[in-house]
Amino acid sequence: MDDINLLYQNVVVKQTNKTLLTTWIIAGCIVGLFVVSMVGVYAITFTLNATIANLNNQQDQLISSLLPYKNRFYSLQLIDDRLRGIAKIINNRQNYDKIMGVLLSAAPVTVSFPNFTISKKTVTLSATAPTLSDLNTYLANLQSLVSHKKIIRSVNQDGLTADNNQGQFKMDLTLTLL
Amino acid sequence: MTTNPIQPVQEVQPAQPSESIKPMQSETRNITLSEGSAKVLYKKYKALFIPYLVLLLTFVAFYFIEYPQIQQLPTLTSQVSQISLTNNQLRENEKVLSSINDKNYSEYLATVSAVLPQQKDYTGVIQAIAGAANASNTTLSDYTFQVGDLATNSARLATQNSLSVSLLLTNGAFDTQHFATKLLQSIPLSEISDLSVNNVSATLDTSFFYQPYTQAGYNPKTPIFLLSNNDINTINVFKKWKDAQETNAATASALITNPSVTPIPGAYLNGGSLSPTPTSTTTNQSSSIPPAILGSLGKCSTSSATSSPFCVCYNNYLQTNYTQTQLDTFITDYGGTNTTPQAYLNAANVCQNQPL
Repeated sequence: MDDINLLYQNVVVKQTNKTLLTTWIIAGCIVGLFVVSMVGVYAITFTLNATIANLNNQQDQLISSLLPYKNRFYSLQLIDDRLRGIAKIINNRQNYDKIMGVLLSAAPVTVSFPNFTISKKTVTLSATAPTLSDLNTYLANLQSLVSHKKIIRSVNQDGLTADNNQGQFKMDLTLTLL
Repeated sequence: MTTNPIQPVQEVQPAQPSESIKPMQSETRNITLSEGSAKVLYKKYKALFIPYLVLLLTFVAFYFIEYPQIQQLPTLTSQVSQISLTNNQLRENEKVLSSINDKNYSEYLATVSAVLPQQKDYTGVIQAIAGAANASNTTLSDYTFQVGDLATNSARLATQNSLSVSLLLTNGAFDTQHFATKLLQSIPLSEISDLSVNNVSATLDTSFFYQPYTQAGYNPKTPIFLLSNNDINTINVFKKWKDAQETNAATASALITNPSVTPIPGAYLNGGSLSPTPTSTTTNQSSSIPPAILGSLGKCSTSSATSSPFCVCYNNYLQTNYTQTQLDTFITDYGGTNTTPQAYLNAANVCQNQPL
């Protein structure tokens, strides 16, 4: 009976040792992994920090090497600032000279303009000519501008009068600009 | 024959709960670890206590020490790439800045500053008007400044600062159109907001633009670029406008300053007015820029500056400061209130008597 108990005791002890060994192996592996990864992470961190410090030094040197060019830097900035403002104005300003040029050049040479006003989106003008044909030509030219959608959107004829004393015909027009 | 009487069916009585079946009752069992049991468990597992403790400490160390480090890695990596990019930008900036020709860029800056001055440039405006009148062969009979912080009437440039000037020409529609074309090709940049022509005269409401410099400090990390060919071509066009305008304005000024010359159409400035108070509408004032001063300013800005004491003084001043805007400072310093005719006179007198 004692032998049987002794055998049982040996089996239990062996089993316990085996469990203990397995546990130590697992714990060792995990601890080892931890240590290795810790060393790796610290090595990477150290390398990155060293790189950052090095790059910062380079940056300081570059910035100090740019100092002599400070005036050129300002110069470029100011030119850029002016060019932006100029582009904005030129792209958006009203070019009444071109509008006027087109409207005047559309008239036959015998037509004169005793009254011509441009304001905002409207042009009011009076055109005089010795013949009705000239005024008709001018009106047709303006209608052509409207149909081609150039400068003016619409033409309204406000009046047509004849001055027998001066031998002139006068036409009043209101043009709406595009 | 025997008959079995039918026995009446007995009613089924509900079963009484027996003694053995009892309803479920929740019980709280207290498990107590006796000292003996604890000793047995301790003896059985004491060998495993240390490895488990080591594992626990490892996980704690990982969580509190290594995990924060790992979290920092992406930040550090992005920091490295960011600084590298900045350094590359700085190298590019150095390359750009070192390739700049100082002389050319000073000229570019002077030109674009004249095209769009940082504050009201009265001299430039007068030169532009005189130059346009001369170039278009029109007669300018009157002009009125509207002084103050005004915006334009233009819908698309409503927020742009401008100096409004009303012009009166004694010409017809065709000459007025020619004048308008020349004026829009003058500097400072301008816009015509209203134009009215009748048989004998034309009225133009114009706005001459100016724009304060945008406040931008020195930051070498800001990406900078050389001017493109397109920009340089544009500046060269402005330069041509400027040269042509100065030549035309100088001719006009010569006629003004020399009364013996018979005024011809296109070069005759017949007065004008300055209103120093900010108003939206002005009327002609009796005070005006003295023609002699006006003429001097016109001459002094040309390359063939005369040797008059005022011009020598004025040009010296400009050369040391480079910008036209310094004129107003100069006038303020020597003449008192900025832009008044008296200020121009005082400035001229001081400059003549006390060269810089």
